[in-house]
Amino acid sequence: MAKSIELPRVDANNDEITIASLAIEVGQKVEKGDILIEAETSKTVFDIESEYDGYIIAINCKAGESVPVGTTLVWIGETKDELPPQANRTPEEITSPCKPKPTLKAIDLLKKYGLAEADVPFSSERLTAHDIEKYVSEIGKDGEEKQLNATEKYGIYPTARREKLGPAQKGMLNMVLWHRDIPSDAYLEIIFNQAFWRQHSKEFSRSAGLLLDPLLGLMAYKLVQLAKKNPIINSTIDNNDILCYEKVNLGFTIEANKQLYIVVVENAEQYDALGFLNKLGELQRKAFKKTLKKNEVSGATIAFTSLAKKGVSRHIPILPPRTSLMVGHSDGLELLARDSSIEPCVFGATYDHRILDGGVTAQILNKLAVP
Amino acid sequence: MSENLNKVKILVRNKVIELARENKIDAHDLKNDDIIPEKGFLDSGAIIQLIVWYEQQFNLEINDGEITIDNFGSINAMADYIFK
Repeated sequence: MAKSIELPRVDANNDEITIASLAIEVGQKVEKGDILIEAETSKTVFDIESEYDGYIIAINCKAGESVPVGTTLVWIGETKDELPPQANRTPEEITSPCKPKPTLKAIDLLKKYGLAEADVPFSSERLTAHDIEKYVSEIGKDGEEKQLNATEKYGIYPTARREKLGPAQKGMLNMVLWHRDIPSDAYLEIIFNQAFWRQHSKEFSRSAGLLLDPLLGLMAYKLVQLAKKNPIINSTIDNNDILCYEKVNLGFTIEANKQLYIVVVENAEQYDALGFLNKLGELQRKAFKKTLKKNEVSGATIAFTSLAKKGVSRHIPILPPRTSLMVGHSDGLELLARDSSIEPCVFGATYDHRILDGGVTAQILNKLAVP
Repeated sequence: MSENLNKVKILVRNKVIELARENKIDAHDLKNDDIIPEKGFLDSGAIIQLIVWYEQQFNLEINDGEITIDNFGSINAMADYIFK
């Protein structure tokens, strides 16, 4: 007797699932466990396996089709010549191949909840009371999407004190959400010898009489210069247009008062290297004093961050809103260096793949690797 | 004046020790003429905190261009700067 393979439900949200590809054809011999179909939702791709040994005698779906959960996808017969039940159905049954016959108990529950048979996905050849109870618990009795509370969604957690987010935290939240929702971010990194930068930084510091190590500031300044020469990295996507910013507003992450800030050097290309370092220093001090103005913590068009001296070998930075490139500096590899003349170091970059590609980004990083 | 100078030096030195301790570093060996960034007791962030404290403690507003190793590189230099 022919046996059916139905499209299973994989989560509460998807009542229809896309058939990605078919791994079978009619007449093919299959064994239990063989992959028949590859299906996909917005969140996962999964295989549908045969539950029986036998022969494919009917395929009721095709690649690219969106199919309701519970639909019979494949019939498996004991012989190649067996006819699928559809061949023995009435024309009405054939034109509604996915219409299950409800059990008596299911009919009562459909009346009780005011549901139509077609509303409820079924897990076997008949619509059962279990199908209806499961549907109602997932969707809710009034047919609206049930709003799950945190415990239903995630499980049981200990009680917690509720605190308001501070301004810097709200800023971080907005930034992370933008990064998650808007750009098509991708990441790559290069390994380079930081010794050349270290030497350049020492010479600069000595000649300018600087108090602070200018290494990271000079790297950020180089990025400003690269942004001026390569406007595409100082751009973003807005609707379907590229917005090439006319100025380079360099965002630079700092930690002050145990909070993370991205301070913004506006129109950074107007400065020479020393002027840029002085401006950056001023913003850093303002961060500690908590006197930064709104335009000094927003509006970055490109950004630089570092986890230097924290033993980090790589970190994947979060793109500030409306930027397409943020360079992350890490020097944790120094710990592995045996040759003291080499300082292995990493420049990684998160970039918006809607506007930049790996080639352009790697080129920028390699230019940045040399002072 | 020398008494005030010494007071400033003590205050600055104590602040350096306090900031270094936050990074689990003991800076009691710091001498008044040691170059602070070269001793490694304070990282860049802590040095900025030292400058911010200095401005607030002595009610000064320091221009960016004046934050140099000559003016703030040692306890002696920081004390001398106030009386310039």
